[in-house]
Amino acid sequence: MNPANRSRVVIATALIIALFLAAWFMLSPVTALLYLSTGLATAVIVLGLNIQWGYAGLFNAGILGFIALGGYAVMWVSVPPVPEAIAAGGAGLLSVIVKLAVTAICIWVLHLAAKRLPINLPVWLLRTLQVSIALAGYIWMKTEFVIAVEAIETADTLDQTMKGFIGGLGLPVLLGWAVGGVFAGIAAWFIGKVTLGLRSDYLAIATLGIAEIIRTFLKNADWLTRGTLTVSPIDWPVPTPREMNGMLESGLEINLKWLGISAEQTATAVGRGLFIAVSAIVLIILVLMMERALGSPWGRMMRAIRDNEDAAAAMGKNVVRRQLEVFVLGAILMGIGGAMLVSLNTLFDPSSYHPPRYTFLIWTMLIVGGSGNNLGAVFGALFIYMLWEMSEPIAQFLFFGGADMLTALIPGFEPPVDLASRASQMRVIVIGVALIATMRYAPKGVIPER
Amino acid sequence: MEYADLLNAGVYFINKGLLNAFKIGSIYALGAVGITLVFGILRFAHFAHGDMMTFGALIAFAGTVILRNLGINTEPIPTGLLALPLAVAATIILALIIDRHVYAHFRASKSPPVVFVMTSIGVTFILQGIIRLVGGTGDRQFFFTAVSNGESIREDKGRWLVKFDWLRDHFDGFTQKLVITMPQLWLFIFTAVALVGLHYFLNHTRTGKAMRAVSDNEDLARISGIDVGRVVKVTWVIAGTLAAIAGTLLAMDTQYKPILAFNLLLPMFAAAIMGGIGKPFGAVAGAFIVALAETFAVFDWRPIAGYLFADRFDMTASMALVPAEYKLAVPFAILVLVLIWRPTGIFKGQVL
Amino acid sequence: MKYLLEARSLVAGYGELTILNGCDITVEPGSISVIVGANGAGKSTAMKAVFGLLEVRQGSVKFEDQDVTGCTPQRLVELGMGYVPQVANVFPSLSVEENLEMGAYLAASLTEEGLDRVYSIFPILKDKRKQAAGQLSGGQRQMVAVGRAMMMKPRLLMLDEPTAGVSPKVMGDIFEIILKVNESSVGVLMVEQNARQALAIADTGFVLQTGQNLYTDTGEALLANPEVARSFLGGKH
Ligand SMILES: Nc1ncnc2c1ncn2[C@@H]1O[C@H](COP(=O)(O)OP(=O)(O)OP(=O)(O)O)[C@@H](O)[C@H]1O
Ligand SMILES: [Mg+2]
Repeated sequence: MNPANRSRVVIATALIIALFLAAWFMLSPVTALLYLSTGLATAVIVLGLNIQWGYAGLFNAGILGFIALGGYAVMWVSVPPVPEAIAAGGAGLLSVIVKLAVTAICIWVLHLAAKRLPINLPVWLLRTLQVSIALAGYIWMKTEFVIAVEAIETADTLDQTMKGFIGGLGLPVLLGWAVGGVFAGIAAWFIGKVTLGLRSDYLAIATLGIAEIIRTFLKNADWLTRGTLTVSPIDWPVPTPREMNGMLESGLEINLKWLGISAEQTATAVGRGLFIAVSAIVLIILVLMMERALGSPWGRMMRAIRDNEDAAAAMGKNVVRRQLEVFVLGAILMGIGGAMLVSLNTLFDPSSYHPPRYTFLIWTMLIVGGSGNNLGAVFGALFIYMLWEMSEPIAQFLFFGGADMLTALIPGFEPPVDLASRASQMRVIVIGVALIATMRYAPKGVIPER
Repeated sequence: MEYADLLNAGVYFINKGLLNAFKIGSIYALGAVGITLVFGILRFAHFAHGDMMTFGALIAFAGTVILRNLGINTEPIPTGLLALPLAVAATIILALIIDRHVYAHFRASKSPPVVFVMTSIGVTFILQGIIRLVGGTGDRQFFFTAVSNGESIREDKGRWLVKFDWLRDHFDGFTQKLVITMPQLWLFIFTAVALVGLHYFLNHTRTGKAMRAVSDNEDLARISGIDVGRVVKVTWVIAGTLAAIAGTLLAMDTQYKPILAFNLLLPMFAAAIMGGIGKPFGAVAGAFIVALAETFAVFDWRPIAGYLFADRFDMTASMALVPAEYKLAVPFAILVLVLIWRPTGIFKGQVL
Repeated sequence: MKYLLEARSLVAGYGELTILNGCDITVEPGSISVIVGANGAGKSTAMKAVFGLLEVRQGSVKFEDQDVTGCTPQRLVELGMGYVPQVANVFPSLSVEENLEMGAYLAASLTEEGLDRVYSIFPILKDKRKQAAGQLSGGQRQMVAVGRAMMMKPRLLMLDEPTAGVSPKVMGDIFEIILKVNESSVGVLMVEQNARQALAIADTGFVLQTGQNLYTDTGEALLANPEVARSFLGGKH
């Protein structure tokens, strides 16, 4: 680390600590801890974006999609199966899966045939055939799919909180974090196959669209995700505050009064503290791995490609293949981060994934933190996340104060009834300004690439 | 099958299918033309375009409220239309302010397109925030009852019915009719006028030709003495005008929402890319293709099948190819297919 | 006025890179100056620096004794200069006529007269005037490019390799056109790969190497100089 960066790191850390303490004393210690753990999980996501953008210059505007897939994965792995639903629609779903597999294999075989066999099929004809097969497969399985879904969604269940969907695997939640990475990685492979090699803003538009489709799917596939009904609770890898409370009652006494935490909050604080520890360990391991990757010949090649794609291609580097690797790697981190977030909230709510919060805020974090630098990514995540959370109460305070003042000054003035929800928009503006100001005045971010 | 059924099916198809496609196609066209002009001249994908549309709609709504409360009533012309000039002016000013204070800096420092796209995302944030801050987070109707001078005046959306009386007399059982709402009618008129005007402007005026020249080759345009800064301003004026018109008429036909246009972004980009970047009329064609594909992908054919093959199908399940929730997937699929097969668009636009 | 164009000790480059290291380029009123040199010598860079497309870090450019260092291309066009770049020198999707019109963008009143003049020099363009310039042959495109620069009746015409990619026949035509343009006392500054022909019509020649003047002399003298002949004119005499 060069000396200029060292002082910047010190300042950045101080900023985060200041925001953390502000939340601790102005709101509550538990809230501050919640912000910190959300910030850590978000840092994993920003790290993923840093790999895609900072290392390789890939413009992914569909971060939300990977986060949501990770979130779905952790729900699926950790929630127990719903036997009644499986009995009602499992067979139908299985048949649909088989039909889809057959369709996929047909398309794959066609692809191989065109490549290996000595027939000279024009590319457009091949693609047209493949799309037709895909369409035919879709129509082939559609009716059966609709019937199976209907059966699952209406199946009577013993446990009413699990009604209407097929459930999951009932495995340990930590496995779910990993599976979150795997799901996002697989999706990224397909997406990358199709879209990499496009000019940067085309790639942005394409990924934006895919994310919207993933979001729409998760929101509407009630049989798979319970849609707007949401799934909860989702487990923690450490005892949750509630479980902790049970343990405390059974004699395990920890007194945290000296930290300004009331006795009632002790259980929550210890539980959250453990979660933070686990998140921090995951984050540190990932940062170290990424640092190694960046320093390796592979990382140097990635940066060479980023800085001059044409020159790298001319030197015989397989640019698109390398970009695919990096795109998948970044998406895996985003999936893990998304899984951590869902686990932390103990709730999977597919309609909560909004592009401003889960795509563009992540971008702001990286740009402000300093793209190309893992430390910058982590800093940006923690700093911007806390700024995002803290700007809401501050705006509320200012707005209601202002409204009271106007009511007192101007006779007949009535503040709008939805003042609270309007005030909460201030944070969107704050983030937008932060993004543009950084691009303009410190394009390399707070902690620039070395 | 009787002729009346055939007629019923045909009119239903036009009413619920084609008209819808043309309505949404007109909106996409007005937006996509702006996007393709900005893309061609400033060379970046303008993500904040949808929010410019929403902004225009919000200003038009505010104007409508003021006019109605003043007791102004010009039926059958919707009040919202009277507020449209205000919305257009405000949107143009907004676009010029954003350009001057945000994009101009990056243009001067010759930043890569990615920087512009990122910046336009920042602009989206700010606009979204301002729109909700000022206009609230709820939905709003353009047609409502207002009280002025103690008198309450109610304005209706207004509709134009085509009942085909002559056909009704001749074919027993022919019951379908065409329904066009007034905002839709105005939308079609405005779209036609705007596009014809744009065509004239681009091909027959010096500034229009200079705009095409900058889109073709900016350096050569400078060398020829064309004032590129002015062309950029004109581009924003046109894009802002079209965005305000599209946003306002869409909001009048449905309702004003703070996220009015975010979901339009993808189809509009699909239309612009499909038409070939920098080709406004390619974008128009792209817009209508996307709109037709989208409308008929989620079109439920049940009523038509009912008229044509009564009782021969089990018609409890929807007969749409794609469930309505996945409408967005259609323009997206088109976009991906175009990007893979013909990145220059079906009408061979420029390769950026 | 001794010089129509007088550029002295130009230093310019791209970003960190310095390409021109103090080169001099001059054109006397109504004369033809030619810049020759190896690929990458900085010939195009010199033209761009003179025409205000690159920042001139040191040195000065004077046009008709007026200091124009750092002026925008637009201003230079107004003052009476025209420039045809080496590549991308037409608007491909605009028609031939529209391309020419853009040449007179700053003075619409000159359009009619300019079109007549250009069409009389390049009659073929009149037949193709509705066709998109991108669909023309390389030689025809070159005519459009030169025509566009002549629309405003410039007193100095700057041409960067006007004969690149055209057949020997058209190349001869273009040289003839340049002479014809020059007859009406328009100064010409051009970069040429076909150094022998170009120097033959040149009043002054500049041989550039790594951004500096290696030789500066009359065209005749340079042609006669064995050093120049060996390194820049190639093969036989
Ligand atoms: N836009 C640019 N950015 C960076 N370097 C450039 C740029 N244009 C040219 N150069 C470099 O400047 C040097 C001189 O280029 P220039 O185009 O002036 O050569 P030239 O003498 O015109 O050659 P040619 O006969 O091939 O046209 C070359 O080394 C080239 O690589
Ligand atoms: Mg050159």
